[in-house]
Amino acid sequence: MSKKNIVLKSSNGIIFEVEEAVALQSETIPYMIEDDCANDTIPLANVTGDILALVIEYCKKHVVVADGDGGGSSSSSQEDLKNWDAQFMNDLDQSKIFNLLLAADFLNIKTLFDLTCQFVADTMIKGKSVEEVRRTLNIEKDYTSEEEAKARQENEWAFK
Amino acid sequence: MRPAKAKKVKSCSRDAISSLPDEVLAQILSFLPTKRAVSTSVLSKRWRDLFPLMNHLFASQHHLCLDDSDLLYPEEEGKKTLSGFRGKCFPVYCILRRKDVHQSFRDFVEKTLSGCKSVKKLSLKCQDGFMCFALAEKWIRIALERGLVDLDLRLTTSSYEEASRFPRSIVFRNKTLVKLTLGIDFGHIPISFSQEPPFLPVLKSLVIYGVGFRCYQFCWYMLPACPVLEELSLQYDLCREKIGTAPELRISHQTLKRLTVHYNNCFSCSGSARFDTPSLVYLDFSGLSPVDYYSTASFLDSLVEAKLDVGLNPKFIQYTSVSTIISWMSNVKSLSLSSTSVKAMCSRRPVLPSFVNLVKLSVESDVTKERWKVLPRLLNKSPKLETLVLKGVYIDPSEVKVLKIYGFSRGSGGEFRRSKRFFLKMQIFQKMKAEIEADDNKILQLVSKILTRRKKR
Repeated sequence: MSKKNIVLKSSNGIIFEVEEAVALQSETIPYMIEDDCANDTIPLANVTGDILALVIEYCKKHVVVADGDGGGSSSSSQEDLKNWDAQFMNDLDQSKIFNLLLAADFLNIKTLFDLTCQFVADTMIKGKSVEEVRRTLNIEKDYTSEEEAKARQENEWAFK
Repeated sequence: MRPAKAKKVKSCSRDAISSLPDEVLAQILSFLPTKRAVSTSVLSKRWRDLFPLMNHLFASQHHLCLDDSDLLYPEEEGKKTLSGFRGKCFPVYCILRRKDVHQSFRDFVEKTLSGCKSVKKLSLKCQDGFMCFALAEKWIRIALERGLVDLDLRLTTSSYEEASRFPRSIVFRNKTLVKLTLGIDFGHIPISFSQEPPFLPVLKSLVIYGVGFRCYQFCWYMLPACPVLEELSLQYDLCREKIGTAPELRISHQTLKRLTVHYNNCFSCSGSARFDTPSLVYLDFSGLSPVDYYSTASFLDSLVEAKLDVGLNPKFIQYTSVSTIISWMSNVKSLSLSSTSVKAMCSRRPVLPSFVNLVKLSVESDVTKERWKVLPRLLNKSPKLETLVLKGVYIDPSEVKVLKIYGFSRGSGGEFRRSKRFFLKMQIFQKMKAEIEADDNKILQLVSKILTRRKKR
């Protein structure tokens, strides 16, 4: 079985050569292949090299499992994959996470996008007070106290 | 569509969450519990508009969770100011405050439901008297019009009148629901199906907490009404009335693949169990061991995985055994035995079948060494076993002399921490053989740390 490789180029010019199956987890890349068929290298103007490396690491991990089990993946390999995902996210800092989120959105890799969203929701918002969330996410409070009170009152039940 | 959207993103500094586009932030909200997602509206002006945006664009991936039980309790300030005396004035104060809160909750639900194009998953939890069933029915209807496929409904009332308003026709006669979770507690009023038979033609998963109807009603009316059911879970949680004997369970279904029965110590005597479920691959049974002579099962060939948490009735311990239910496990590939099951197997020593296909065995037990005697018997009967998981084994690290580690991977953090604590406690060990992945620096560091500590002594 011949394996076709695809060459991806990050915004800062770093070249990655990956197997087609790895790259095709992105739903954006097929369109780019059609558009740029003359050139073998697919330029990804929105994704830097370090983030693209992470995306590829994720895609490689997820393609192997889908292949290895011939579709009917067992519960244990699913579990391994889940643990791997958790570890993968845990090792990233906040700025990497947000950039990964943008990359996953741009490349349209649904599972990676959902994983990252879930991680942000769980670790940066859930179980934290309003002030803590502002601090964690570095959100500037642009409400006056009256406006904040009004926003609070509108959905009063949510603050019980 | 997607690439066009991404063009809006500037490639300048993208370290802060504020640089993410609204659509991405709205999607993050869709992964939060509804209440938490709504509460982000006070973060900043930008965030105020994100929940409505999420609801408009991504409601179908959001699990809309409406739970009025939070509204039953007074707010924190109330608790603080009046914590010294829990007198009469306390609840009065709260009821006065609660009215607005309830109104804001209802307004929110109506606005959210009418503002979204599609709802896939809805949880509705109504406690006694606060959100009336008529309202619940209205909301479920709206959600069904918007494509609801997964409904989780928890209704509690002790009022006969309110119970009679239970929206049974839309819950039990429904042509679109694929997953239904029910937790119904109407006190002593069971739901009867004899007048209006249920009909759930596309339902694949049914989970029932605190079974609110008689078991025979369920087995005879409800099960046949779900022709394509694949997953069933019965959780007897509400033990308001101690019925004593577990009801006779007759699960007869041709397509059912996964079955969970948890009696949760609701019954003091075992009942019989008859499973006519030839497609069953997964069984999770927790309760007193089914009565031996009347219990039958027709899943012996199909069952792949089983979890058993079976105990013996302490009053009639000499008359009961776990032989029957163990004999049903003869073809499984994966078997998990709780400490209660191990205890029962030790005291009654059932005849064990040959577990001809067993690949993974998981055994849990407490500290008593006696209990582990069942393990060699199980192993002798399991020629194909590859993985053995022992839970609750207690080894005193200070007694360990030889330690061999094979295929140790760091796994999920916790595993490593626990092992580390164990290793560092080892006082007298003399020999260590470890097989570690070459790039696992953390473990290598730990090993050298242990070794240096040894040398110092």
